[in-house]
Amino acid sequence: MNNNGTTFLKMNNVNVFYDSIQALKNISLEVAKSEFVVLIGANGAGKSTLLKSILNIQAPKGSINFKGKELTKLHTDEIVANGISIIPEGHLIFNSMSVLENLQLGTYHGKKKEQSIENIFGYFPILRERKEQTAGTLSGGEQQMLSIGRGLLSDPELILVDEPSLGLAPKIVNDIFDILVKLNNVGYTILLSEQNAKKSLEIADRAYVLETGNIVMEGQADDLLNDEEIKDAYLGGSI
Amino acid sequence: MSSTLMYFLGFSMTYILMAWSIYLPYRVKHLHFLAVATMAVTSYMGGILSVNFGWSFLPTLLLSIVIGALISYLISHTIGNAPTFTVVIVGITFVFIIKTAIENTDYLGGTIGLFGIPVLDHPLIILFAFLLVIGYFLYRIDHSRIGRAASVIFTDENLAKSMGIKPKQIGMLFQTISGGIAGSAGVFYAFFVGSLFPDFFTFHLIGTLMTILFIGGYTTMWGVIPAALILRGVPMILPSSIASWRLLIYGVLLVAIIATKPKGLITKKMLWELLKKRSGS
Ligand SMILES: Nc1ncnc2c1ncn2[C@@H]1O[C@H](COP(=O)(O)OP(=O)(O)OP(=O)(O)O)[C@@H](O)[C@H]1O
Ligand SMILES: [Mg+2]
Repeated sequence: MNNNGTTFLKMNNVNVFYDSIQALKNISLEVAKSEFVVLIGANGAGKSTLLKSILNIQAPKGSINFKGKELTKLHTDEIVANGISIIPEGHLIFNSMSVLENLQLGTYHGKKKEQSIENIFGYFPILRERKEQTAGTLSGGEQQMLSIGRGLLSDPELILVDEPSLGLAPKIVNDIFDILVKLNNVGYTILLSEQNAKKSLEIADRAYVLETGNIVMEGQADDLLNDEEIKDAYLGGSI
Repeated sequence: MSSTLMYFLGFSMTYILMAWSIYLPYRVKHLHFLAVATMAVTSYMGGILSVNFGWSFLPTLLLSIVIGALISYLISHTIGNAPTFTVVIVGITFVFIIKTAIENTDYLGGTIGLFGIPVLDHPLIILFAFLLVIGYFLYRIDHSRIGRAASVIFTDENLAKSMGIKPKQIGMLFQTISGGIAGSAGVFYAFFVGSLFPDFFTFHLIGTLMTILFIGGYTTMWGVIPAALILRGVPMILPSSIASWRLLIYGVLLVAIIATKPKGLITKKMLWELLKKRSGS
């Protein structure tokens, strides 16, 4: 793990409750700058809740530190302004707006709009071709690309990606994961939540395994890929 | 021009103005009935200023816009990010506070009403020109970064926040603009009708505006225009015995539309497709 002075993202003893139900229990997790970390867990394990707690969409108890700032004291929009972006589960895009308008939503913060949208088209050439098309008519994979593109436009350093493979064909999932690797290579730090353990462990540096709100295992992605328990619980029979 | 037609157009345009002042905050799910209370305040203010102090129309109009916006701005600090229900309750509370205050103030004519406000020579032309200005302004807002952000807030407030949008800021802005528009509507009303009654600015007006917004459609600013004309016009051609059931008819219409076309008669999607078809052929 990277320990050269400044921590990037560090969650310490984080608990999250939905009314009386505890969805996250004493979560401690770190992500170093430029790392690619994956969060593996089954349905309802708490992956989305964990990502939402970082942005204070779902209020956390405990401490979440990002580049020396305590995030639990900030509002969501301030956290976004500090350089964290979320690509929400189920590629939430605006069906009746055009592709371009959907992207413009991501530039709400201002700063060099035209140029940033051009950058996004560099990563996703298909979106340039479709920019006048209504977003609702895009394919699932294209919608996911649009969602990722929009998330990049707030100028983040850390991107939280929530189950991008959801409902997509294996071939498309590969494309999306390739893009995530590419983004990581150009310097974005990535925290990915996934049920697709095999594919995500293949591309990530490190991993955490989440079960009913607890982190039950953590380690280098390669090690987990060869771990017997993980194989039994998460890799058995998957492609 | 026959006076019936003049009243029809004048009332319709005033209703369009008021419906727009309700439409804009509803872009972020705020049913801002404070606008109705604001309209009452500025219409009485305009009446008093002209009758007792000899103010002319234009300065009265400008002052009423400022006062209207100011009232909404101050209150938006507490309800700029409140749930729909809270915004409604606060608005209705103010509507009744203002009504009670007027009824108990002899200077304002109390329950009897305030009379003798000098009406404008060419109210329709001025009103129409003003409507164009406000319409253009709303159109620009709707098609701006802020308008798009409002659509996100309407759909999913958390998603909006995670895009760096500040719902409270936009809520406060829309409520303030709504107050300014309602302020102007008050003065137009006073200078068009010439007499004011506290009862006008209550449930009757709230009901009419809600009907206009939800029947016309709240997803685009254009829906309220035909809705205001129809809702104002239909009772006029009905025999007066039926016309007095107007609010009931509105209610039935409202329920029927909400049940069959929940977004109203005119929707953004519909306009989109219309536009596309035209540019296609
Ligand atoms: N808004 C909510 N209110 C109450 N409970 C919730 C809410 N959202 C999530 N939960 C509960 O919190 C737990 C964790 O949910 P979460 O959505 O974080 O899981 P997840 O790992 O993302 O699952 P999935 O893979 O299905 O997306 C679940 O038991 C879920 O039922
Ligand atoms: Mg989830």
